[in-house]
Amino acid sequence: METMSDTQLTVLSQEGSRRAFGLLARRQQAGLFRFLRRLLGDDEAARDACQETLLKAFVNVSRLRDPRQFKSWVHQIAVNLCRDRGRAARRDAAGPLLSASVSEDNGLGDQLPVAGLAPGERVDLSLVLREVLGRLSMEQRTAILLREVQGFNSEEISRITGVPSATVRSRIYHGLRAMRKMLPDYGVAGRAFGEGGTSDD
Amino acid sequence: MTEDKPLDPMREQMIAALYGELGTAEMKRFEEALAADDELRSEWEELRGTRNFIGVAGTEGDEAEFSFTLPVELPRTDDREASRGTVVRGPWRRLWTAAAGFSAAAAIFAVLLFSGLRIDRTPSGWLVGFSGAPENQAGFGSADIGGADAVLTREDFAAFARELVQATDQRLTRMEERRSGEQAMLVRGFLEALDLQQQELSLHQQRNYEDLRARVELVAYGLAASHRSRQVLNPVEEEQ
Repeated sequence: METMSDTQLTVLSQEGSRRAFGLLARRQQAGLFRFLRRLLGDDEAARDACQETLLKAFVNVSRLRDPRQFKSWVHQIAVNLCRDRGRAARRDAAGPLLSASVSEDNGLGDQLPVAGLAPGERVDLSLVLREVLGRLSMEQRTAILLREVQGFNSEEISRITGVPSATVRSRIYHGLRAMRKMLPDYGVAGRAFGEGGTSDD
Repeated sequence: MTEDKPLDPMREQMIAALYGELGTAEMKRFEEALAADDELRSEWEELRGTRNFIGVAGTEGDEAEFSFTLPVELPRTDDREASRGTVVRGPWRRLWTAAAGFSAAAAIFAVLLFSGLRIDRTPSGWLVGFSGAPENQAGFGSADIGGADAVLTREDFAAFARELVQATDQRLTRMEERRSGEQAMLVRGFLEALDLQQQELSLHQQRNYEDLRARVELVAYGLAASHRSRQVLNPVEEEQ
């Protein structure tokens, strides 16, 4: 069974094989977790969301029409889950993660809390990435992570997030530009990453 | 929101180029546009730099791990559905569904008959309506049930039965087609796996071939060197 493709395992899972789903989950869990911890900015929240996402997938796998789309379908569940949690957290105004930096007026209420890092402080790049992503809107962060970390194309991201692919490209464009503007605050020069030379390097 | 507005065509191209989604001709045109516009080029460099940063920073700090746990007792969607009624699994499940549908249709038909449904054949076709139940109506009329004078004749029953059988048959065929689709998908998956195996085998053969060729070349060099040495050390003997 280990040599089977994801599609074959999905079909077997749909027919009730727990072992097949276990193998599928094992193949997806690392990538999904990497995506969720970047999206949520917190390892524990990401573990929680990852477990819930895969459980939802297990319970509903028989509803998946095209078994070839298992990976993007699981990401769709994850994105919807995070979106719902974000909404719930905002409603409660006491959610542990997504409500901490809520500002109702700025339209960026789903930004992650930025803490423990002062602009100008030299830190490791992973932490900078987390901080910079955390300052993007949830939509931009989702689109960029699905593209850059998970390698989905615009059409696939469009299906996962439920918005037109032109909107996906727009979110990626504006998100990347916003990130670029933030990087100098954390001592990261664009020239270090292959830029030809800009005024703020 | 600004981020949700579609980009202008040049920025659309820029994003497509960033992810290698432009064709050769489009890419060439884009590069020409970049060369002619400093602002555009600066934007392009920024996007590329940010992507590179994500590529580098994204690979750091991935030590944290996650391992999915599948609970022993967890209801699945189809299990929950099954728990509401008789559990029928496998191919019988589809036949069971068809049988249930057939029974439901028969029950509805029986109720309609009791409520005074009339089905009359007229020169222009079938006439369906409700009225007081005639004495000779099928199932509770006089002795000539199904006879030539009955409201519902044997031919009517036969025609209705034929239609019902046809409809059921069509439904079963559709189910079979769907089933065939799944089987076709499994076959496709199997063929993909087979293709992969063949590629691996071919790679293996190629490696073996190259290894063998290297050994043959080594031996050939050795022989050539040996021959040359003999020529140098004992030219007379070699000439003979």
